[in-house]
Amino acid sequence: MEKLDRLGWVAGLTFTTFGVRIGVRVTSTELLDLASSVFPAGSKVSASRTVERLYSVVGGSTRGGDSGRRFFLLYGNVARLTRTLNSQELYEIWQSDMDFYIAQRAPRKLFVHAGVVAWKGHAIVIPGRSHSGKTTLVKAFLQAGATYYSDEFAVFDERGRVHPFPRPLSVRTLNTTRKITPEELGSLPGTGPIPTGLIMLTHYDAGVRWRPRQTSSGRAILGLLANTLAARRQPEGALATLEQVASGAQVLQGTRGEARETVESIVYHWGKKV
Amino acid sequence: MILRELSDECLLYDETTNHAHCLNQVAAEVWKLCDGRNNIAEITLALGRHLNRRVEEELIWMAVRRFQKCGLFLNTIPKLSGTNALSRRELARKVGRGAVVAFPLVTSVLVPTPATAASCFPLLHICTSNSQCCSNHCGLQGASLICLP
Repeated sequence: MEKLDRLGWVAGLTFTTFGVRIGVRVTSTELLDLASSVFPAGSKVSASRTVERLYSVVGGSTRGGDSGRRFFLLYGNVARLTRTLNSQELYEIWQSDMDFYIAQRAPRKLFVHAGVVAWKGHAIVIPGRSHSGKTTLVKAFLQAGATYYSDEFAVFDERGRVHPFPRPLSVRTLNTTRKITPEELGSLPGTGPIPTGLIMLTHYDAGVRWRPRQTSSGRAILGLLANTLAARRQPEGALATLEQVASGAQVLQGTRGEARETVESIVYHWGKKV
Repeated sequence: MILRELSDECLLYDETTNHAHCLNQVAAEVWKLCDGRNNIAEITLALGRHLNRRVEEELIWMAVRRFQKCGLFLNTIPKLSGTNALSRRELARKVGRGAVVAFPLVTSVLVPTPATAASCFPLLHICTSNSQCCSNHCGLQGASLICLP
């Protein structure tokens, strides 16, 4: 850390996001704009000088052998996270590392890997691992008129309400990932916490018709727990929060086929009740 | 073991194995009665009283087998055989075709590590393919494959 400390830092900021204090220091002031955009919406600048994680970003320097090419170097505490010429790559690696850190360390929030949309003031939570079809389903809900909460994490408070974590949707194509904002799909991001109305335990299987069955709160809690980042670190707190989440929600379980057909069915059958 | 009781279910979290179990009402009642003081006959009677119906002893054995399979017992139960080891179908047949039987059900999940629960692995996490890493680069460092920038 001492070697890193000796670099010429020209500016720094501390942000508080979901109760986690994160510091940033940069070697050129224009990198502060990039830093501000990496933090999740709702992050606040803090006056604290003590941080839980410190990002050091070196940019704008030239290296002798590279004849003027500008490298970005990103450090998370003392570990180098990337050395790249591409500011977009820097942004993505930084954001991914920060989200992962916040999701594990947020003191009074529980982060569950899930897609979340709001329908008539109630959250539809779709927990699932990568490649389970979450993003496709979230996208279809947004096109049907739902409000966007998250494509990556359901952020629950102790009362079981969901908070927005509105990063752009990461839509996978064959070899790449494309970022889409909810506005591009005719939707808007959510602004405040809402109760959970529906938990969908589902995954995609081509050609299957969506015929869900209602299942118990206990099964829903297991489904959420299997996607909770801090579950091993604080199982008691995670179970208490998830119990609150599941207590007021309907739980549907089943394999789904096409996203549009599934969303139409949910909106028709469940959407009428809320 | 962390226990949380829901209205008609029970959740157990085993901190040594990081497995979470959901027990339905019948399984939860049997599990609570398996306290080292009751034998199978006593558990059968107590469960019958609680559910307000006749309970077969085989139902308790079925629950016991499930608990053992899930690692919910401290001590091992001798291998079951004969009538004690009836399957769900055999038990339903024995109780009667028309009878409604609530079987003991235990659903279990392995609670993931933070990196497994996340969409993609962060830098320096062990990986096997590029697609697992947020950086899309799973490379060799030393003798291990890890996510690299």
